[in-house]
Amino acid sequence: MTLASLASAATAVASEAVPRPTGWIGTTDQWAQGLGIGLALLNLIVLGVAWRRLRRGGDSRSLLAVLFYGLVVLPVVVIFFGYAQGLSGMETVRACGGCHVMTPHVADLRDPASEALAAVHFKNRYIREDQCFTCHSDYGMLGTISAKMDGVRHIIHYVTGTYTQPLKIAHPYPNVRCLACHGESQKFLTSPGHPADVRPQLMSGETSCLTCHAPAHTPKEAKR
Amino acid sequence: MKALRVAIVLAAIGLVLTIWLLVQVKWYNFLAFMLVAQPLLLLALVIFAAMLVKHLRQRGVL
Repeated sequence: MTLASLASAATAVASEAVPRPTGWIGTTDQWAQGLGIGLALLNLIVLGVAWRRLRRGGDSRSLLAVLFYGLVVLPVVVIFFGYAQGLSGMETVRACGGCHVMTPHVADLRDPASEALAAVHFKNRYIREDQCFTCHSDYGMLGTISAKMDGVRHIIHYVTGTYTQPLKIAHPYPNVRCLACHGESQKFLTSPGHPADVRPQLMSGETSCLTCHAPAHTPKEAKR
Repeated sequence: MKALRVAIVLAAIGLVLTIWLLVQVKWYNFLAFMLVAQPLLLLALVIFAAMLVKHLRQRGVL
């Protein structure tokens, strides 16, 4: 591949990218990430200063003050940023596809030719970001906590190899996750597929949305 | 003073693991942050607190 073709490919990708709004200075996540890294590096410098003072000896009061910042104040702030970055980072599609066993699900999600429900949501940008997490967590604070706990369980199963293939969803997919977005939309309310006499069954979860809208995913076989 | 040096080393390891997480979030470095970095930073803090109490007792403040 020549340099010219590489340059034209880069230009093509750049021209398809959505332009940033005027005055763009990055996202909150990017700022939190930068600030977190900066504070962690500052903390390491403070610890370095404390180490040197320990070696030299001398005034214990000033040494304790430096250590107070290096071992108490700054680590608390750095841990906060670590948590914030870690928890939001684990919601991304990339994080979900980080385990080899999930790679086929993510590949199917990203495949424009796939007609699986998840892929249709992804390619049409029905959900803007964190698509796996958005559909696989309930709404509200407890939903988020429950999804995080599920994520930890998934990691334990992955690391220990205690899972069977093909992967199956642990519990039947609840309709509320679909209805939270679609439930009050005109497309849902006026669709001939959702007549008024069927809607109560959909709302109560008696009839699953996936009865008609399956399959949610069409992954190829995964590697362990 | 040796205990304080240990606390500094433990905190430094914890911070390096946290920087690794902050640079790019992956399941394994998030796990390392949760299970290794945080306990190390906490242990460093406990050692420092113990040394601080000892220091204050020696000076008759406590």
